[in-house]
Amino acid sequence: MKPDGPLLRTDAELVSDEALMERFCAGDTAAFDVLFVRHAPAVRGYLGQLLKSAQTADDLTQQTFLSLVRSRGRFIAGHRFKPWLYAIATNAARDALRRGHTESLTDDGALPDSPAEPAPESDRGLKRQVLAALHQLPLAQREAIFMHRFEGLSFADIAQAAGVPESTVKVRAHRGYQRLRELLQGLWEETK
Amino acid sequence: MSCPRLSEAFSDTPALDFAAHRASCSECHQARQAYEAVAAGASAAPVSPDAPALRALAHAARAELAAHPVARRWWLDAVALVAACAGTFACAAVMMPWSHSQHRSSAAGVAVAVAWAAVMLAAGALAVAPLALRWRQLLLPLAGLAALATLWGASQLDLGRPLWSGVGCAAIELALAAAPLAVALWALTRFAFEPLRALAAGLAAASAGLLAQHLHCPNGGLNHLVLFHLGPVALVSVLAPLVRRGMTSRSHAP
Repeated sequence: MKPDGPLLRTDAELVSDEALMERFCAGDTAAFDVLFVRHAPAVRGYLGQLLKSAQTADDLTQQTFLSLVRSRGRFIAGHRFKPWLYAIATNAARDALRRGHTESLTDDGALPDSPAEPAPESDRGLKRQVLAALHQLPLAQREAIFMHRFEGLSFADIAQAAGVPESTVKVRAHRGYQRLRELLQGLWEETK
Repeated sequence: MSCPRLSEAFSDTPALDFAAHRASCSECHQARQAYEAVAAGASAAPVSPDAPALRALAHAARAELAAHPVARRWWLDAVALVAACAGTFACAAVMMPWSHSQHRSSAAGVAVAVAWAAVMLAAGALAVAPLALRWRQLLLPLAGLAALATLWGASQLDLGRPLWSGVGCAAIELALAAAPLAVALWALTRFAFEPLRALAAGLAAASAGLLAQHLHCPNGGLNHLVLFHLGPVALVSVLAPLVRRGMTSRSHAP
C-alpha cells in the first residue's frame, strides 16, 4: 500500500499515530520523522524517570526508535501505536537493568565513586519526595504508575505495553500507590 | 485497620462525596495527596535535550532505515521456523526406517502424529507472531494433551530391552532438534526476550525430533516414552529460554 502523497507539515498535525505508522510501514520515511518528533521527548522523559539516569535515557531512546524501525513489520495495523512504542521502551529499560547497563551520573556528569547521598533537607520538596519514593518501588509497579500518571496511558494500554492482563496492571498500580503512601507517610512523620 | 474507602484515593474518578470524606479522614487525605503528588512529580521530570540533541537520538534509526528501506514482515520468520522444523522431520522420516510396534493401533499412531504436528506448527508460529500472551499460553495445555495422547496411543511393548538403551532415542531426538532450534533462537533475537516465546520455539524444535521418533522407534514402553521421547521435549523447551536470555536482542519490540 503506497502513501497518498508527501506528508505536509500541516497534515502531520492532523494525522493520527496509527495512520502515520501505517504510512511508515508502507515506505513513507517522512511519517517516521513526525512520529519521532511527536514522541521522542516523552519517551526520553519516561526512560529518564524510570531509570533515574540521563545518559541511559538517551541511549535507550536511541534503541527504542532503532527497534521501531527494525521491527516495523511487527506492528499490526489497527492496533494502537502508543502502547506499542512504550512496550519497546519498557523492554529496552528492562533489558538494560537485567544486564546492568545503567549508570547514575552526578550533577557534573561524572560517575559516582560511592552510592548517591540523599538530598539535603533544604532541597526536599513534595516533588522530590515523590520521585525518590517512586524509585523505591519494584520495577513493575513503577512502570505501571509512570505510564498511568505520567504518560496518560489507560490500564488497557499499559496491559498491552507490558504484555500482561489488565487486571494485573491494576493490581500493580494499586499496590504501587499503597506502597507510595506508606513511604511518603514515613517521610512526613519524620519531618514533623 | 485501614479506612474502607482507601482504594478510592487511588482512583482517577473517586465518588462525588470522596472530597468531603477526605476532609475528615487523615489516612485517605494522605493517600490522595500522594496520588496527586505523583502528577506533580511529573513536572520535575528531567528536561529533554534541545532540538539538535534530540535529533541526534534519531541518527541510528535513520541509518537503519536507509540501510533497510523495506519492512521485514514478521511472518517470514514464522515461515522460516516452521519450514526448519518440518524440513528436519521430513528428512528424518525419509532417512529412518518406520516401525509401528510403538503404537497400540494404526489409528492411534496417526492421531498422535497429528497431535505433535499440530504442536510443532502452532508453537513455531506462535513463537514469533506478534500476538497477545494468552495465545502462547494455549501451547502448554496443547503440548500436555499431545503428551497424554502419546502415552494413550502406546502399545506398552518394550521389546525386552533394558531401560538405558533408550538413551539412543533421546540422543537422536536432541540431534534432530538442534538445527530448528538454532533457526528459532536466531529468529527470536529479532524482538524482545520473552520466556514463553523461547519456550514455544524450543517446543517446536523438539517436536520435530519427537515426531520423527514417533515413526521410527519400535519401543512402546511407557517408561521409555516418558524418559526418552517426552523427556527431551521438556528439556529443550526449558533450555531454550535460558539460552535466549543470554543472547542480545536486535530489537526490543514485543
